[in-house]
Amino acid sequence: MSPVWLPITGLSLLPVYLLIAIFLLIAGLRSWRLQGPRNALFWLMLALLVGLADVLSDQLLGAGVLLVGLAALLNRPVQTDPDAARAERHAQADFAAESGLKLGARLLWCVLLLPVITLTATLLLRRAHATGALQFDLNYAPIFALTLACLILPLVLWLGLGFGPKRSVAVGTDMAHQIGWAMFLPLLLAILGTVFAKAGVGTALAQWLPSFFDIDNRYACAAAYAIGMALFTMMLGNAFVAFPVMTAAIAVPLIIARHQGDPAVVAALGMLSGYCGTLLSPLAANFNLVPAVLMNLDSPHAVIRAQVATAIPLLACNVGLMCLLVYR
Amino acid sequence: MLSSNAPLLGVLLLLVCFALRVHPLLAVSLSAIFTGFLAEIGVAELLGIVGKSFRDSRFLLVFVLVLPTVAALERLGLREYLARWVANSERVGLKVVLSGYLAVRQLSAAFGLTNLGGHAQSVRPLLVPAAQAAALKRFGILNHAQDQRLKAFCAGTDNVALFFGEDLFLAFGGVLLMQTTLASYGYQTDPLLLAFWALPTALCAFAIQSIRIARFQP
Repeated sequence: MSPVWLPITGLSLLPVYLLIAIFLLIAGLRSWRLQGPRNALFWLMLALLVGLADVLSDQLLGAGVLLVGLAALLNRPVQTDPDAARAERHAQADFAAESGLKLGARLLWCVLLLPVITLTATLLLRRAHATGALQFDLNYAPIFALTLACLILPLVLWLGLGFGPKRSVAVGTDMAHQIGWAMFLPLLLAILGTVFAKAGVGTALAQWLPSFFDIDNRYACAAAYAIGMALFTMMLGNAFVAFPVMTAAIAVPLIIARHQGDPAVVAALGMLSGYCGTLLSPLAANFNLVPAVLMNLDSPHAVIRAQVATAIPLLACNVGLMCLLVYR
Repeated sequence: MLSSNAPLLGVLLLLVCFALRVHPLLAVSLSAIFTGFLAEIGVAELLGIVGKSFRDSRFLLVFVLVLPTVAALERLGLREYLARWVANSERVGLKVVLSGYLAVRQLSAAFGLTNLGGHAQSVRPLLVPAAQAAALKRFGILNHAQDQRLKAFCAGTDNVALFFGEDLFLAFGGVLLMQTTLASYGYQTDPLLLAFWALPTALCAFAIQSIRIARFQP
């Protein structure tokens, strides 16, 4: 691990990871106090893994990841006294109603400050990168900017609205507890994608898929690629995992090499067809499952159901556009 | 030696687990282990792959840093304020709230500003209370099922706007992935062209979601 702060001309994501780890650690300690050690285990282990990933060996980290998954299975909703819980909800609602009336538009300005700071910081970071004042991977700029905004806003709430940072973090961890294990699923799926890639799922599929359609019909190939991207993304939960696989299986050998399709059109429309699959995938946890938990929806599939009527017509549009544009 | 098609059974296991409603974390872990076994990857190597992949993708957790701000604003009455504002405004209806959000989110994503919004940052604290207040004006008090549908529709609108906006941005990871994948087969493509050919789909997505917003009844 190289020192990241000295000299300050280089930026790595380490400070961001450490902040995440600290937040998870606080969430764990608070969970221990409120819900007992059984629920706290998941947060504490996850905090350790995120914070120490740079010093642990790959194998140790991998074993830790599987153990965090097991710890998450131990999480149980805590039985609280229903009367006390209801009383607390009412007290919160009363406080919010009164405070909302008193603070008014200042609350709106604060929530809009989040994107404003993120945007300004992103632009400043890009500028610093362009002039060579700071060296970092430009892809990280939005992550640094968002982190900065997340650090500044609790201070604004404290100085402007009198809501202290300690209370902000406490209510933030309560929200994290509400999301619970669902926040770990996106990570686990990203890992599964890597395992699939290393295990050769892509090459296996590439040998097997072309037996399902007429490879001499260029429109059948285009349609098979678009629909295949959507279906495979649905199965894997991530268009980025499906894209290299399906492109190797259908786009490159058939559409581009055999039928002289335009590579740029194939790739752009293929990826977007994959996104139609993301809208339909229960495995796309951070887009479909986490919001269902965050919005207190009864069914984990409620968001997917709300997206079906967009995803399917849009996939049909993509198939049409692909046939129309790729062989111009 | 197992057949080279064997790893596909790992995908199958994942689908079966989901169909049987096995806990998702367990389903994904089992599928990873089983796929590794089928591909004859050793235990130590598999753990190594898992660990390295965790290290590379842990930035996905960055959204937790926004939770303190969002939760604090919620406690301070942001929802209540927005609800009153929408309820008192004559011009701001459900269609205006949802299509306004769709347009702003898709455009900002097209300029690479994907982190400006999100389910934690903007859907829960902003879009849902505004939409609930607007729906109250138009449809009266919503029952539980209607409220659930409204909230799910809000989340879906955010996803559609994000997915079909971000591909128009040149420095987006997706555009870079397309470029590197095609380059590995010897096809050089201009990122500008990749973003350009995403435009027709982006317009279709905006049109389809706008029609759905216009027709939406919770």
